[in-house]
Amino acid sequence: MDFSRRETMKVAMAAGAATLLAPNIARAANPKLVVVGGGTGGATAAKYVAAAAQGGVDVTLVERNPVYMTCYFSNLYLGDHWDYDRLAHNYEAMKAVHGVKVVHAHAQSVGDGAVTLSDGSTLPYDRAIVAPGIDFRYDMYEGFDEEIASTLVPHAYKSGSQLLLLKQQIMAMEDGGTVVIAAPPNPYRCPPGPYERASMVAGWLSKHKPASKVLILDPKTSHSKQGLFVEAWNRLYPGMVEWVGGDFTSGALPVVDAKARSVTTADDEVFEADVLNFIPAQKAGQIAIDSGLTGEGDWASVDPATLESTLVPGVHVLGDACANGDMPKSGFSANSQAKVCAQAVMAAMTGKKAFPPRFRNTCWSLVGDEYGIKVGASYKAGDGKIEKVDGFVSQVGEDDATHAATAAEGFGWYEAMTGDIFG
Amino acid sequence: MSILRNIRVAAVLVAASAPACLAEADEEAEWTDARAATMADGTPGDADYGAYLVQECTACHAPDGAGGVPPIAGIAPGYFREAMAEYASRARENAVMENVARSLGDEELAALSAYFAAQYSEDD
Repeated sequence: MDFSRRETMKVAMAAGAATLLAPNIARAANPKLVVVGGGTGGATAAKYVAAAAQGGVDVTLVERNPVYMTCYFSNLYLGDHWDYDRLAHNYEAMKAVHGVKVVHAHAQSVGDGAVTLSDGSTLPYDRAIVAPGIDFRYDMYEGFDEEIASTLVPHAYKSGSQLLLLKQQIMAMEDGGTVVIAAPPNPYRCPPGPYERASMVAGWLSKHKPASKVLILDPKTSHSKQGLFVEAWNRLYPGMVEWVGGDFTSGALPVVDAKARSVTTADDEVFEADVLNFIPAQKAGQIAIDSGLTGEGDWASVDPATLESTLVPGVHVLGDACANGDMPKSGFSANSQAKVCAQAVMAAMTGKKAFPPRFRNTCWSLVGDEYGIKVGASYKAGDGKIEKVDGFVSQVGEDDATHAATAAEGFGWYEAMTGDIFG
Repeated sequence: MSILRNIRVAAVLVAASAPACLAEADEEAEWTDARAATMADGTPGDADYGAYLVQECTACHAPDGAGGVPPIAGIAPGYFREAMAEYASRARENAVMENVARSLGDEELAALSAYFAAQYSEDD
């Protein structure tokens, strides 16, 4: 194409104008990242992208609640080892220090370049990160739903108000009563969680209502850190904690009677409780399902190197909601995945170099006063899934000093982790 | 922390100024800050890679040591290298750190050292 002199001049003038207006144009042209879910995974990703982009990416975080209550350490509140208020974290630093725009709203769906909120408004994005955590498979049970969980039989597996309800029920129980903890089938958030909970409840009962019992009903035939938990229960709370595994529950606990506070197994055996903590089977947070990120399954399928959805391009899913291969669903895992995802998103939106993804998880469980156990591993992006590289776990028979050091390590981790996310 | 760091630096300087001793020096004395940030083949560590890798550390190590896990921001690179070698060999015992140390190759250790070196010089 031949340019006339006039056209050449117009091009030159336009270029000059663009140069003069460059700062404004650069701001207007910032790529947009929308993060749905301000829990551990989503908040970490928002912060790390904002920090890496230094104003070069518009980061919006959509979160329903003004305060986030961590699920990790919520068991410690039940055992009087942690204050409820210390589970709470806000988004002030996210906004003021890191320049993230925080929108407290309910996101309903994501796709086609926009996140749709419950009021019908939309937030356009170039990339989206979806980190909605878990929701529950109430459809698998007779007599159990969110209303019952909120009022009579708390699952208390999202921290917050149900955690308070569970503790109130335990405190109000007569000495000599039985707290039944119904554990969920795999996969679920925080694999050691139900058993740490049993430990913390037993610890509290042993001090305040020592004739009471803790009964764990499990659809599984084995569980996380099992030998270590059993060792601790036998030593710290002899005769108080009983675990009934999948061989005796017929692998399922399909019926809940909220008024009678009982659970019925697949073989019609009935277990009655004075306090019933029923933790149902789990699935990805509803927005992941409603947005087609989970396909026919319960969890979002992702590329292990980038956490980008294999079903909806441009949308990344991380934390508990994704099918995370060998990694357990945990806060530590979500934080680790968020950092991998953040650099992948930066690479996609700004061309910034991405390094080989690395993942890590450690789960500390407190089982008694100055008595901690841990399990952890390093992971890599493998063929179609996140693969374990190398792991470790506490050993049966460790001495008191080791248990105390592990407990202290766990407390230290909580401070550092929540600072890494919300600081 | 800064006192500990200075002691370590002084020890490394003493070792470095005595070549005859250095030849027989143990692993600890070999890690000068400058050498720590370099791969075995002489390639300088990539501080940008280190900045990515250190994100793995900040899950447990708060910048100010909040919570009691020791801070590592601005750690002396030579000290960092020797600590990683000690965790990997179980001369220092901690299962988490042993796992971390074993996951870091020469390239990663040099990259983290280069990253810490940049922080370290800014601090001092």
